[in-house]
Order: sequence, then structure tokens, then C-alpha cells
Amino acid sequence: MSIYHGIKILGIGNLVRRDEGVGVHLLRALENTLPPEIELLDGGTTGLNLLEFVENAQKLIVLDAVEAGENPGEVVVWRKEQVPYFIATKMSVHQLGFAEVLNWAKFREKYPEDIVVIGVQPQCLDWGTELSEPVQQALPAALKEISLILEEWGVTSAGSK
Amino acid sequence: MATKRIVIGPVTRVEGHLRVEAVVEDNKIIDAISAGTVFRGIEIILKGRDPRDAWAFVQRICGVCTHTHALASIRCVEDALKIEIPKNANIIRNIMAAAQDVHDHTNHFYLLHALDWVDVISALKADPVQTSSIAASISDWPLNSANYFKDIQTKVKNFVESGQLGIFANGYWGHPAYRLPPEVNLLGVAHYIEALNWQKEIVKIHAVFGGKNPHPNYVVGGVPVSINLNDYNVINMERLNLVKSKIDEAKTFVDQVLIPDILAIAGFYKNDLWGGGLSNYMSYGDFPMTSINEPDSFLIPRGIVLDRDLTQVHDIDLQDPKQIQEFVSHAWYRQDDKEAGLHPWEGKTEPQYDGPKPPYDKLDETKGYSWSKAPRWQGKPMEVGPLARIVVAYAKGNKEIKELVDTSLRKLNLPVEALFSTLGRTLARALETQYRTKVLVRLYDDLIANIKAGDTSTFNKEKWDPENWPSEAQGVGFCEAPRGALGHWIKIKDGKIDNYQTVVPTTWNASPRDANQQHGAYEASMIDTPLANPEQPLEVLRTIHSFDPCIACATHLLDPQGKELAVVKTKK
Repeated sequence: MSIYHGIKILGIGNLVRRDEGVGVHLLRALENTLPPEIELLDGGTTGLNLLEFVENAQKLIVLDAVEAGENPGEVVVWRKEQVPYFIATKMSVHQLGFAEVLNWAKFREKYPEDIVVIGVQPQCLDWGTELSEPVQQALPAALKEISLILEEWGVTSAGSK
Repeated sequence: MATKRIVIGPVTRVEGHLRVEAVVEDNKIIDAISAGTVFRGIEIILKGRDPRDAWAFVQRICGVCTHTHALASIRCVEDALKIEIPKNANIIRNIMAAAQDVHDHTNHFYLLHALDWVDVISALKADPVQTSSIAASISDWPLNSANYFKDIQTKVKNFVESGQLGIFANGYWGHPAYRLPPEVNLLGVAHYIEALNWQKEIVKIHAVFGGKNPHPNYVVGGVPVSINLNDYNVINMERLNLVKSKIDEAKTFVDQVLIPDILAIAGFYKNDLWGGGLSNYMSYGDFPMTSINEPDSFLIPRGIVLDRDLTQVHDIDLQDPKQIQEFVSHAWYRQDDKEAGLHPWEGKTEPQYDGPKPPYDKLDETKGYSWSKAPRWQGKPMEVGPLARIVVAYAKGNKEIKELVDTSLRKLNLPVEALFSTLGRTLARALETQYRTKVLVRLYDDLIANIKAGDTSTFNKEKWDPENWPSEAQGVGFCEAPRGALGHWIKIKDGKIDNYQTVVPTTWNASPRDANQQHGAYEASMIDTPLANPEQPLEVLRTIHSFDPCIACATHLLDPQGKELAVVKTKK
């Protein structure tokens, strides 16, 4: 079995609410750049529908807009226990939906062995399909963080065709 | 006299916010307001775009209703351009809609609404042996041993004791408005967890017909799949067999788990018949057996029931400028004549906020107080959703619906008027789910029969090219979404979208007052609700959740001066 098996990447967010959709924008930038065994999913804002994808992951990267109290466009990386799987302080704007998914995965003892959230602090959540400038400019830095994590997991071709 | 004000306010921005305030006097709600607190500007994004692409944007309005928005969108374009779709495409769209309803309704009950009726902490005290015999007495569902219930109980207990209350953190456990004995609570908790296993399966139908899930693909003029029973790469017998197996699993779960649970729970709540609210019910109808232009062929009947008079059903015309109108007298939109109602084709989306600066303690219902407009039918507020559909079908004499309703009410020893309540709304959703599973079986058989008769057409490309469009056109697309009547109105000019207006089910139900001070459905349903403990407004949550609002909310309890007494967040 390929060493990449069980690695999954999930982009979440609302594509018609500008920076809300940054997780999905990042996911789209990754399409066709990674070994095909690595499964990508555009989760939108679909909440519990994502449970099966999460539970089938051994190593999971979640891409999202996060309220980290940073400047707009700042990229943050949360690892393992930093990932808010219960609903305490709201950090990601999708947390109510997605935290519940993680919560159920934990309850059902199907939580990924490693999970990393790569988030971008949004500037603008108005209606619209384009990212704000600071968030647009943050995409390369976020993609770099993704490739570092993938390298750590043994994926060497990250970022190249 | 002690008057308090309860506020249910926003938490997340994913699907738009709802805020509800209720004025409480002597443990009873005497007035209520419902406010959408986020401007919905999808209309602005769509202006100037290719009408054939609109579905891909509206699909993203909401993570729960991706299918229904896309469907209403392609239907409005087809209506404007006079496109008829092939029979297979119509059946496949109906199958996807029915699968969405079954998934959404069942998820709604177990994962979002059940804990308004079922007390998790009480379930920890239950005797699993007794739960097992209750389960066996109401259903043939095989997972009913005492050990099964004991295992679930232990797992929940460990989860709670480890401090990870998490999923169970948002409850008023021990509240006097909970009426189930511990053993029935345990049954409910077990099936709450079981529903999670099940819900992952039914949506696979969307992946078969829509290419992927979430966010399946759609196309104006049909469905974006090819059918060939023997070809590996398209919709073939193997994939259709998968669809059939998912339909059968869904039917078993609904017949053996959802319906027996609802009836068992309702038996303990049958004296709590508050929460009826409005007395007008509206269904656009859906599931055409021939064409969307032939309402007489709809499996979900179209019509309006006024004043709960089940002897008469009124017709609706979505194109008539005098029937469906939106009012902004209490909404934050600019309009020359603030009292005038506008048909959606003439609708405007020009925000003009004049509410208090957030964060605020309370809204002023004598002025604008919502981002939600107030839709009305011939000036009257309407309830939409499962109860409205069931009431209209019942009044129209639909045999299958009537039998489902009468059988369950007979088991509960309740009259038909009991439907007009929070409990009735929840029962109606379950009965509708059962009806959808029956419909799914029928639709699947229709599809197979049509394909075997040699028809594999799925797409009508006649008017795909804008060269073949008139320079101006307008259309309306509608469907019955899980939460109720959904309409998209489009105007096309020179091949581009000139105006686009959506009137979504939650806009009907969560509507603010209109110029005549008439309440919307949420507001009306809260009035006269008794509260056992105003500091823990469980009854309000139960009623609001019974509508399955497409929003997230947090509950604040305020005293008459607007001082916050307690905050309880709820999630959707």
C-alpha cells in the first residue's frame, strides 16, 4: 500500500462570502499537484456530511478561514490537541459545524491519528466571490505550510506536478 | 407583573443568522419578534452572469440545501427559456430531491431536534433491560438487546464523565418540560447515535447522479450524466443497484426507527399542543410526474389552506404579480414606498441599515428590525415546510398522506387539529419522510422501466446556445425544499442575468411583521407558549427547531430593562 494512503486534505468555507471561502480556494490550488492517492475534498459548509471523509483519514489537513485574532492574511497552523474539537471558544467561522464533526469522530473512536488545521485570518466576509487582497497574497504562504506538513508525512512531490 | 425578554441571537455566519426575542409575562410568551441579522446578497453576485452558471453560485448559499437551491435555479432558467427536460432527467431530479428530504429530515430530527425532547442525562439512569423490551415492543429493528443499550449508555457516561460533554453540552438537562421516562430517553439517545451511521449512506445517491457529493453537478436542460446500462463509465446497472440498496436501507431505517421513535416520544408529549402559530399553510408543490408545468401531476400537491379550513384549498400562481409579494416595512432595505409589496420579478435588494449599532441588547419592532423581508401571499403570512405540505395534501384528499396522518393520530388518540402545534410539526416531518421513502421506491422503478423501454436521453440541448434565446426573458423556478417552499425568480437580458431574487423557506417562516403588523410564522408560533422556567427557555427552542430553521442561534435571556440574565447557545 502506498505511503500516501490515508492522507486527506479538506477545504471548508463559503465560496460566496469572499474570504470565508479561502479553504476551498486553497484546495483548488492543490488540485492535480499531488499524488492521486491523496484525497482532496471541497467540503463547502456541509457540516456533518464530512464525517465519513474525516473518519476515513489517518492524517488530515483542514484548510479554513480562522478567527485567530491575527492580522488579515496571517497564516496559522494548529496541530493535534490545538485543534478545537469541542465547542469552547469559537475560533474558526465554521467551527460550529466542523467542530461537531470532529467531536463525533472522537466519540466514535475514529479520530484521525494526526490532524493539522492550516488557517488564514480573513479580512472580509461580505457577499462576493473574490478574496480580499491580504488573503489573496497569503495563499503562497499557506500552500508552503501545506507542503511542509506533507513533507513531514513523507510526501516529497508536494507542490509539483 | 414580571415581564422578561428572551433573545435568541446569532452565532455563526455560515448560513445567515436568526435572532428571536420573546416577551415573557407570568411564564408565558405574550409577544415575539424574529429577525434575520445578516444581509443576504446572493442576488448582487449573480447580476450580469451567465444564467446557466447561476446554480453553481446559489448552491453555495447554504451548506444544508445545496441540492434545492441548484434545482430551483436551473428550473427558473428553463422556465424563462421554455426548455422541457427529458423524462429521465425529471425522474433523476425527483430521486435526488426525495433522497435529500429523507437525509435532511432524519438528520434534523435526531441530530438537531431530538435533544429538545430527549434528556441525555436522564438516559444515563435508565435500566437497559427495560429499554430493550420497550424497543422490541414498538419495532422490528434488530439492534434492540439490553447489551446494546447498556454499551451505548456506558459510552455516553464515559464521554460525559471525562469532561468532554461536547456534543451534549447544549442541553437543559433535568428541565421539567422533559417528559420521557429514563428508559425512553435511552432509546432516543441510542438512535441519535445510530442516525449518524445511517446518514452517511443515503447521500451516496447524490454522488451517483451528480458526479460528486457534497456539491453535486447540475445542468440547465436536464441532468449532467449519461445512461448506458452496460457501460462502465456512465450510469449503469451497477450504480443503479447501489441507488436501490440505499433506498431500501433508508426505507428500513425510517419505518423501523424514525417512525416508531416519533410515535413513542409523542405519546408522552401529547398534552403539549402549543406552538401552532399561523393558521395559513402554503405548498408550491413538487415531484412532477410529467412536467413542472403540470401541477396536477405533482406528488406533493400544490395549494394554500387558510384559517385551518381543511375543506378548501386555494390555488397559487407564482407568476401573478399580485399573489406573492415581499414587504420591507420592517426590514433594512431601501424602497421608495416602504409600504408597497413587490413581486420578486420586480424585487430589489438595496440594503439600508437603520437598526441599532451591534452589539445591541434588543431590537425595536416598531421600526425596521430584520434583514429578512416579509413575503406574503395576497397579503397574508404563510407557514411553509413539512406541516404545510401535509396540511395541503390532507385537505386535497391525497389518499396516501391522509392514511399516514390518520393512522398515526389514531395511535396517539389525537384529533387532526393536533397537527397545528410544535408536536404536530415534528410529527408531520416524520410522516413526510416516510412518504418520501415510498416515493423513492416508485421513482426508482419508473426510472428503470423508462431506461429499459429504450429511452436513455438525459439532456435537451436545443436551447443550450444563447444564440437561440430571446433578447429578454423571465422565469420562475420552484421546489419544495426540506424546509418549505423555495422560489427563484430570474430576468434575463441579452444572455445575462438582469435580476435574480430568491424567496427561501426560512424567509417565509422567519418573516418579520408587515405593514399591517401581521406576524410571521416563528413569531406567531411562540406567542402563548408556556415556559416552565423562563431562565431555561427549552419550549422556545423546541418550537423554533420544529421549523428546522436554516440558521444558527444563541439564546439570551433578558429582563425587561434588557439586562442579560443567561446566555445559552444552540447550534444548527
